[in-house]
Amino acid sequence: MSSYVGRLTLELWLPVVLVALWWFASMNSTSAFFPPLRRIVQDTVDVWFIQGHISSDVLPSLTNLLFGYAIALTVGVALGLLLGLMPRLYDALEPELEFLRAVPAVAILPVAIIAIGLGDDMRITVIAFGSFWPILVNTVAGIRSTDPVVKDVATAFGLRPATRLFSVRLPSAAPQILAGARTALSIAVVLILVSEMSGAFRGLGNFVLAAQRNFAITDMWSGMIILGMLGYLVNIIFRVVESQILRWHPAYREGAKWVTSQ
Amino acid sequence: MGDVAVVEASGLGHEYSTAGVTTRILGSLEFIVASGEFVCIVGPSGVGKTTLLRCLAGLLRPTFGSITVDGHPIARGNSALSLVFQDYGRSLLPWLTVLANVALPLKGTAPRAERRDRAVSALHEVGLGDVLENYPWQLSGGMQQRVAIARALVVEPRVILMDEPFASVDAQTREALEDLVLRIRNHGGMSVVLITHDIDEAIYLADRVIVLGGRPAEVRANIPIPFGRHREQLATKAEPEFAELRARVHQLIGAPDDGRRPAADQGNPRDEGARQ
Amino acid sequence: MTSRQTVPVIMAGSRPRAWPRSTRRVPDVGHRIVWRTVAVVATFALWQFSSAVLGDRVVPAPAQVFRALASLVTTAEFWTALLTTVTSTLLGLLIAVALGVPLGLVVGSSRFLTASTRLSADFLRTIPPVTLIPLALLLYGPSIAMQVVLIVFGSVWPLFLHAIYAVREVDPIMRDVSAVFRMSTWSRWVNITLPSSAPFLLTGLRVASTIALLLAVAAELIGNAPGIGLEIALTQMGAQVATAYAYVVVAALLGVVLNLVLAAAQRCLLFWHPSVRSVDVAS
Ligand SMILES: Nc1ncnc2c1ncn2[C@@H]1O[C@H](COP(=O)(O)OP(=O)(O)O)[C@@H](O)[C@H]1O
Ligand SMILES: [Mg+2]
Repeated sequence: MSSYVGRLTLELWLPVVLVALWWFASMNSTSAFFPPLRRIVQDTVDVWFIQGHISSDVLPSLTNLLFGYAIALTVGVALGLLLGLMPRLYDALEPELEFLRAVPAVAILPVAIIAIGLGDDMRITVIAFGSFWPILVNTVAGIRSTDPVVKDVATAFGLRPATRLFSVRLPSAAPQILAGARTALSIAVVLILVSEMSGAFRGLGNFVLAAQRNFAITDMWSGMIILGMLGYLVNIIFRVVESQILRWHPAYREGAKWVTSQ
Repeated sequence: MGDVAVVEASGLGHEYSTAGVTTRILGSLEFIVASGEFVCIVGPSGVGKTTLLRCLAGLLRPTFGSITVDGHPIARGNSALSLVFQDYGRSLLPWLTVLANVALPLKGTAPRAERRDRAVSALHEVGLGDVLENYPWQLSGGMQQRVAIARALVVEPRVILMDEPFASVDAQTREALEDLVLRIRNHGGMSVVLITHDIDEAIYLADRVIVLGGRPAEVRANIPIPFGRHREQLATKAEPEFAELRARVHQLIGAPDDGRRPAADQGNPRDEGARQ
Repeated sequence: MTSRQTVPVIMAGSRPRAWPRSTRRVPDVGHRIVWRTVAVVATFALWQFSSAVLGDRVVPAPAQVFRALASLVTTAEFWTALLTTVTSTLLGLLIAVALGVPLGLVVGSSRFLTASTRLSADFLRTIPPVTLIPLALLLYGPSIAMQVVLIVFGSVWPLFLHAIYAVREVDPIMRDVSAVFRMSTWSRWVNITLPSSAPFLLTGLRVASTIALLLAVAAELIGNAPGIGLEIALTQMGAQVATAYAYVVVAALLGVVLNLVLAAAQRCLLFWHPSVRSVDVAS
């Protein structure tokens, strides 16, 4: 128990000090750009929770994010499985896939606006396109790197194709698929914000940029705080899901040391 | 031992070709495995034992000759045959529980409840009735190999094939597993083909030892082992005939008879990973 | 508090292959050329077809895009835009490396610092970097400075985290070697820590570079910083659809080149690493 408290203190002192520093350093700030943290916090509560921008701006952003990401995940894993199991097809398509993967996804935004317009379907399409590639490429890599002994097991016991796919190949690729899904998620978040910053009338991205353009600086800061917290929250949710799926993986087993990676 | 042949290999040969070079590994092997018979195949490291077993298991199509099981040519995933791999750490699926690992070969062939019952009884047979919901990686090496044996049993095979199944467990565990396999065979009546490079193990377990040697590998000898069905680690190995047989097999293989067990074939698992 | 983080699975594509592909899988060279050609032809046919179906105001035909590209490369604006994007991306990356790697190496070599910074770093890196666009715009206006700040903020985290990970993973045997030979701190860093961290650092750099390019374009698109992103936005607004597509192609090529350069660097610098050494599998 005391080691738990010790650990907690060790991890928490720096964030606490940083926030305190911000709080006191900005207390008497008269700078237009850096309002006192106290006012930002008040404003955050006021704008997002009392005036209800949570439901008018955050919910649409999250819904679009979810739709786009879900499409990318489904299509990415399905196609990744297919290409992973058909090495020759993958080999033939590799140059095209590498090219498309290298497109910085925000660059297609204007093109998507031309093609689809300014609606939510454009946003969902852009998110789906941008986050599809890391999922696809990692699924293919994961499927292809199944341990040959594991493949032998599947063959020697004559497993049915469905069993082979869902009980053997897919779980064995899961760590890589999730690594791809994590990258895809951060790309998706960037894309939803950027797409809202260019030509939307609502959504978080639109809110912060509009606040900046209207010199509503405290509002802008409050939006950034909400964004930061949402980013963190999304990440934590992802981590929980991931550790459930990968319960069996050495990195997640009971007592496994924590490791950091992208 | 019945006299009915379960496995019949005739003119069995295999060659690997890598980068345009073909190497004949297995010459032209002729042997049978009778119903209920325990056959151990011994030979020096690299002679082609694993290759032979992979051919028997249907993982590799032999370049020459034929193998039949109960008179039918072998097919991939034939449930008359099942396999225990050497490398339990890799052959059990870490994302499935012990029970699910054992029930896996039955998926799609039997209803859920039946799969469970059969898996549970296979696990009881190997003495693991109490770790059903654990993951394999939570168990010791010996227990993991028991799980692998249960998985081989669950399909009720005519023949169980084992490739150096006890090479990576410690000596005590190994003896316990050897006795377990003997008991399973005596009880279930299936044939066992077990590959080992440990001569003592081969003689202790087998009804017949097949010695492989040479390149390409040929059957050097077919040695019947006259100890009957009931064997005991200390008593059987203390029989004067045991020493004679050991000396004979050693000579055939060409290893010096120092009475010690050879070290486990460490290179093997990795090799297999890199190949395929 | 057993807060485990990500599985140490490193991104595909950013990791050199652990094993060379087995010979069975790679079709021989003749087949590969044939099939890849087929794939290219099919891709262009598909593109042409979608252009015909959707109309060239939505999807211009390949020929139109390449004509637009051909006339672009004769203009000075194009080269200025390209150069600006490349410069700010590289500048941002450079600063991120200069900040993230040393900090990460230092933090990673102390348990205290690792534990202390974990939460803060974890929080800061999950903030979507584009969140900073309004603030950076406020402070620096639509300029390269704004863009570089954004790129640094976004790409410093993978570098920092991979550096921490790298020092923590320095092979314990290597540590013993250095202790046995009584190496000085300096020589330990130069001969042991840095070389054994290199694979992780380069992986971090590849992740960071992808993010950097993405943010460079985002800053141009939203923040009106000069560069390819701005050109894409302008051509879109001017309804020069084929030119907009041509710029997207250029942005993708930029991504491809960045990837290839870093992959080549990885191969050169890590010639000693098992993932790069060619392994003779067949035996
Ligand atoms: N896939 C393969 N490709 C080429 N050569 C192989 C392959 N697998 C095994 N060999 C070679 O065949 C010989 C026999 O291998 P193996 O059957 O594993 O021997 P054992 O199991 O008796 O030690 C070895 O020389 C090995 O190098
Ligand atoms: Mg072998």
